[in-house]
Amino acid sequence: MTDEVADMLVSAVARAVGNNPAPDRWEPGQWADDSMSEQSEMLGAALERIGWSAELSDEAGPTAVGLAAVPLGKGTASLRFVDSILGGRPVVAGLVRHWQATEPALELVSGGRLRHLQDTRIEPVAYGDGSGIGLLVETSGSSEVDPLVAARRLEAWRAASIGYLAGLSEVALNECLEYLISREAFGRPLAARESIQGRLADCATALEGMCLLVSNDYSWASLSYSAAAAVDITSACHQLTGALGFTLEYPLQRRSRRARAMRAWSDWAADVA
Amino acid sequence: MASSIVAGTTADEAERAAVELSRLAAACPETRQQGMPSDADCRAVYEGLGRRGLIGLHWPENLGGRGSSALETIAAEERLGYHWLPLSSYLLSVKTIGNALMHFAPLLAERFLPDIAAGKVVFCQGFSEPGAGSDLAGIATRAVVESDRLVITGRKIWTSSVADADWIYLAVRTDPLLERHHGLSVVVAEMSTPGISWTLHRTVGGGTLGEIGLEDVEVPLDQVVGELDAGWKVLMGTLDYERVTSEKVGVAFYLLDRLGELAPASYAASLRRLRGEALAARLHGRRATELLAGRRPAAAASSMAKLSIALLLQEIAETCLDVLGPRALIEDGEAAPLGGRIARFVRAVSAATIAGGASDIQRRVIARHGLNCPR
Repeated sequence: MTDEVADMLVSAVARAVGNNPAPDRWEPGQWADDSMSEQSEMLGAALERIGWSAELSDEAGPTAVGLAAVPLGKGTASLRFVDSILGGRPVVAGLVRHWQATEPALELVSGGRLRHLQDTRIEPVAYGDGSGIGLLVETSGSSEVDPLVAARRLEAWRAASIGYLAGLSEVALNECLEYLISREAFGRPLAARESIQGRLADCATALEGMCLLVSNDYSWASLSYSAAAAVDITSACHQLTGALGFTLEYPLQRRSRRARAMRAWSDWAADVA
Repeated sequence: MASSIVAGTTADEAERAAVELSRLAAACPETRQQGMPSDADCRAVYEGLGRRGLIGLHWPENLGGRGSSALETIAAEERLGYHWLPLSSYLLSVKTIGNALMHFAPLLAERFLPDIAAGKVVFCQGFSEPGAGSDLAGIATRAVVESDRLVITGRKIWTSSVADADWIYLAVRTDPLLERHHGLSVVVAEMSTPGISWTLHRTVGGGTLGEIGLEDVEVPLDQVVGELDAGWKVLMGTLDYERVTSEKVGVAFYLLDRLGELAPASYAASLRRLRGEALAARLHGRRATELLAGRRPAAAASSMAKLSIALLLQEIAETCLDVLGPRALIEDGEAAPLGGRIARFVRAVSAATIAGGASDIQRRVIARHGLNCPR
């Protein structure tokens, strides 16, 4: 795929996300699935028209997919669209995302392989992230995905996950920066304080590192780092936005919860793989 | 409890009461989704503490206390935290405002402490404003003296326990011509006073924070804490009391005890280090408490107490995720570690370094008061 085509893919995804902003349905202690909204369905349809799927990643390669996933992260779109690149929903630690969805449940197993679980029984659980998490209760059996295909799709899925995390972190940091520039304390904008600038500089460096990884390296190590960096960045944003960032009405909590969930899932998946 | 602090009958009594009251807490709907005990509210638990004589242990007997030592009080508070009791009302009414009244306003202490100690009166605190958070000297809520009363107009935000509170402890500007730290006053007002209204903001921690409107609220001058226009000293003193959060030390030990049971052996070294950190945080709290009880300068010590336990709780949350993986975030049901307590704690813990004074402020106090760094 040429750079030009990759650029077109990125802008097409960005347009689709921009036209269909994802609402936040999560509430403390409640089960929630952010793919079950009209906007999310419309985003899914728009992405389908672009050809956003595991097959696309086979063709376009991980870099294009990773870059195109950045706008998904910026919009905190449903992770269902990151998982489309895998060709199904990952099963990690006996948990599945979007338990009501019909995409195949793909268990990560050692050696970087994938097993397609058959006739699964999944029960919803209240979870810290609104990804419709379900607990895998039973499965009648499984078939192994061709190892070469599995390796290629896992690589593209890692690239998409890293891109998503970079997009999510970028928006969190920008919103925080905007707040710090507009908010005055001790006689000047908060962003003028050296201790705060130091924290922002750490975040910007970590974010830039994630952006470099999106175009260069999709190893498990890169994913683990990116997820940890997204947790660090969103945590710093919480510290810097104070009580405002802690409220449900401000978007930061949604991004920080997702970053933390992705960190737990990525680390566990990397350990298994 | 595996890690106790000051041996003593009151701490043991607190332990027994905490076990009993935790059943009441479980039935309190407001606490169900709350991830941090110190941010949660349950009037029944507060009343229960009052009935058992566990509020204001170190206050004099004529004010409803038992005349115990301040160290016994924080030992008891640690046990209450260990059993995950909802303590927001307690921390505001007793630890922060009750203690400050005793320190700065003996007449108001006589008036309020007996009812607080009995668990009958809850206070909330109105410090932050939409335009003044960490920078308390920027307080703009205006209070004008009219004969024997103050007339207050302004807005307060991020107030915990507002829905449960009977009274509010308010920071207001009484002289707008004086610069920043000067011309502030602290007053107490009954929440039912005409002109006071409030709304709630829901939080990711599973609780609420109040926003309070004050419109021509009339408060008698005898409800000023300390002297008029000299509120800065009262405010700073109040914060010193607020910053010793021994109940959070109990929360830390509870989580470390449970993680010790749940974690594989490979985590032994990390958990040991965290336990050492918790022991240090506990001692920070004891030292600050001794200084406060002796009415000696406690700003740096109380900020160290606050900073050390807040950072530790966040480290413990990350360790919970490392140890338990994706299942750490299950909030309910049989698959949820500790019945979902960990998932709730993880989403609530970002407030530990924000509420009651952001870590940046604690660091500033430590650098200036503890290390004499230039301003």
